[in-house]
Amino acid sequence: MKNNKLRPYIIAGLIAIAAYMVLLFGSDGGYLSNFIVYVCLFIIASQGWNLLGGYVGEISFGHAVFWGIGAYTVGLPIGYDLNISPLLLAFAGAAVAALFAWIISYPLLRVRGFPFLVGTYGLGVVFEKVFVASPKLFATKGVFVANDLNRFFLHGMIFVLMIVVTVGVKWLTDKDLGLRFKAVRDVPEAAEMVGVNIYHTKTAALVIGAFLCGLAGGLYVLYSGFINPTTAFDSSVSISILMGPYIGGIGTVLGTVFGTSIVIAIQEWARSALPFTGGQHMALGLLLIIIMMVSREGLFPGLRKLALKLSGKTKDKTKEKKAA
Amino acid sequence: MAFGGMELFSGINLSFEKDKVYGIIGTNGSGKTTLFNIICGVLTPTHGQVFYEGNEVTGMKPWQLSRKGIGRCFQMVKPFNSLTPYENARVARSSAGHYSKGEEKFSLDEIMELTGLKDKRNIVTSELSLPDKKNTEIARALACNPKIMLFDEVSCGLSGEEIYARMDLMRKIADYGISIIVIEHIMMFIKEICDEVVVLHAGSIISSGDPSVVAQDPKVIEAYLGGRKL
Repeated sequence: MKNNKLRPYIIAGLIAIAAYMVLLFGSDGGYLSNFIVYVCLFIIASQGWNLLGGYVGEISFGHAVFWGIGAYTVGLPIGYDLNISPLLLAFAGAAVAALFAWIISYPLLRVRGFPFLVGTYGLGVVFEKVFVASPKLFATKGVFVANDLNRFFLHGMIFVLMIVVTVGVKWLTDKDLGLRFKAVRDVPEAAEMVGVNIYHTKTAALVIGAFLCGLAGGLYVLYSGFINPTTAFDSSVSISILMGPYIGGIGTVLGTVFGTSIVIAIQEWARSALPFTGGQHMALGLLLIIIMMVSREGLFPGLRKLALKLSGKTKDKTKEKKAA
Repeated sequence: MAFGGMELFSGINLSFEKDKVYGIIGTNGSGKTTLFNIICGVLTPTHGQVFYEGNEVTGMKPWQLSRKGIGRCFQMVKPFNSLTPYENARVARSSAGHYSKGEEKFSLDEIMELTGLKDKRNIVTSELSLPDKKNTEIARALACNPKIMLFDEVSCGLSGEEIYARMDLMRKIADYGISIIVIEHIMMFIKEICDEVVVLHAGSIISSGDPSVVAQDPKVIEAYLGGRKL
């Protein structure tokens, strides 16, 4: 009985997966496949950023550092021809990024607000310059990361990881630790009064977020096969990571998924459609301005509000009054 | 048996005993909230010491003190607005309350019942009314498993009936064996629930003792009640 009920869903699911595969790999030389992988990787990283930026409310401008550490933890051993499993390296990269975040949290999380933002930005700049200037770290020429991983396998794994991370972050933010994140964001002084150690709470958000950014960075290298200081540590990577949550809805899990998809889509479209350098940055800036003018909390909360309004709930009206 | 004693401002010794309800009154700027901030560890006194349960706690941080059993409600409500009342209490239970596991006087459900938030426990706090926000703060403080609770003008901005409800709630909390210190402007409130009252004026204690006796003290009437007799 139960099996019979489930069967249509299973068949539908299999058809959907088959259609997805055909769509991705059948037609245009894997362009769409690459695009979806990049979206998934940035979603993983953005969810990590969102833990600190969205849930704890401490805006970081330097999460590319953790992305880059993950990337180079994969890139350097392969560049030096060490025989280590690439997938193992990707997870090691996440761990190294988390460890680095834990160490750097000691000075960095002593400050908050604007000084923290500047500090994280500075961290990114330092890392890029160090890697550019070090021939032993392959300097500007970067590392070609040849690996024999099956691209279909990698694509599937990254897609599944993206879903696991998204569901995991949602799960975490409903747990005690996640509630503490939000408590620290809402009223830090009251959070302290109920026994929350603000510094430890922020460190937890930074370290978990760094793990996710490092994981995304390592997988990015495995998929793209190349890493250099610009693709690892440049501030545009940090901006790509934080732009998704901002546009989709900061502090929301689904908003991050939507926002990041839109950001990467626009970046890719602008790169080919706008005939001048930096066109994609301009397009993103324009998008951000429009979103901030239309719905400051981001697209996802904005749409949810609109849906409530259209369905004619009075609750929303009182909210608007308050805002006015 | 003293569980706390402190030197406040200059040359002042103030101690609160267990299982009693204390009231603190005083004119604006007399140092009532400063006193709370010192007890909670928000401020570290420049001179003198703070003792709690016989141990010196001077200079400890608020999160350390709340883990030892000091709960506090703010004058201006500060609930975690994006969380529900139940989640507000959960944060406290999993943080400060975690350090006194097994000594809980009430479960989170009982706290919701006690503070009258049972039906609203799953509504986001920012959408609640002011009395319910204050209840949320009390629920959050209770979830810390406090041995002593500090209430900073909880009647501020409430109607008469709501104030009576707050007094009932405080009596119930006291019946559970939790010591209470309240800052309050309403003399009736103090007379009703407090065992002892301390009157602050310009950073010093001008009177203390039984509420009805203190209310007759000429110094208090002059400084605080502006010459009018209650």
